[in-house]
Amino acid sequence: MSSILRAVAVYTVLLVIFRVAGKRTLHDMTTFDLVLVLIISEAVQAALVDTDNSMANAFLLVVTLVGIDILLSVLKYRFPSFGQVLDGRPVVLVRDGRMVEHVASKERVNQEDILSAARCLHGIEHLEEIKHAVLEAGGKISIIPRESAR
Amino acid sequence: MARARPVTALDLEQDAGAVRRTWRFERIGWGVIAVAIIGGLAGAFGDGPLSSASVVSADRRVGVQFERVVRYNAPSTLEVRLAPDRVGDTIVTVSLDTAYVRAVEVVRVAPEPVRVRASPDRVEYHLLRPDPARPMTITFAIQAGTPGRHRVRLGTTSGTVEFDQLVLP
Repeated sequence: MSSILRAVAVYTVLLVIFRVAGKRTLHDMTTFDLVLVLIISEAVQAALVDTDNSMANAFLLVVTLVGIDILLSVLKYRFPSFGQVLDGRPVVLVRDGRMVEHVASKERVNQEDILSAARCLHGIEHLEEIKHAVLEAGGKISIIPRESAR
Repeated sequence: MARARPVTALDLEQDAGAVRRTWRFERIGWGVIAVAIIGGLAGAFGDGPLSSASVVSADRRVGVQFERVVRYNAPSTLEVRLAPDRVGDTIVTVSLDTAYVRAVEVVRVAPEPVRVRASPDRVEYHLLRPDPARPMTITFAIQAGTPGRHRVRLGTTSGTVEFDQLVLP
């Protein structure tokens, strides 16, 4: 029983911490972000496993973690507002070629981040060529170019 | 409260109020993380100046230095300091509640006891005191195994002290 409780506790704490950290924290992983993920996994490993290194415990932990994930996905599907609370909501960063500054600053996205996404996705060179840029709930920046830039 | 409304030519519902609440939640969360880090440095979760404590008996003949907060399975110590013995007894007895010894495993006692006696209520450690005229320090290396708050009653031939210890999961 304690394995399952530990898995639930670790999952919940990580969920809250990454929710608080914001959409952009681990999206577009840099090399250091990858190192950070590895360090975090190493840090929580002991809390999950405790002193029980049996295969049964490992399977129980994996089943519990995947089970919570499935449960949350079902709840998000059934109750979209729950999903919005859990994952956040998409927000518009650029509208008709102009940055929505107060949204961008709160989400810690600068013009260079948007232009980088625009270059990668559509080969866009200037902000004015973007009709809409949306920071999706998952942290990705979606770019919708103006008709003239297509 | 702002109602959900579609952005022009983009099928995306925007609820400005909910977005603002999310930002506020994030900022509060950042504050909580900052407080947790500062608290951790200070020892609010063990291993720091806030956690380190000491207690002495009424006649100041027995003192114990301990951690108010210890973490599950993490090593810690109880340092028992005894004043010089007036009677000149060469055997010192230090006792702990059996419930506490069960909750917090005593890994090692230094100096090593010559005898350990356990009863349903107390565990007694009998130690040699080479020079009763000098103060003596006895160190209990412990490893907390049961999370929760534990009331500790440490008795010696010179007196008794009581304190609380919190074991974090």
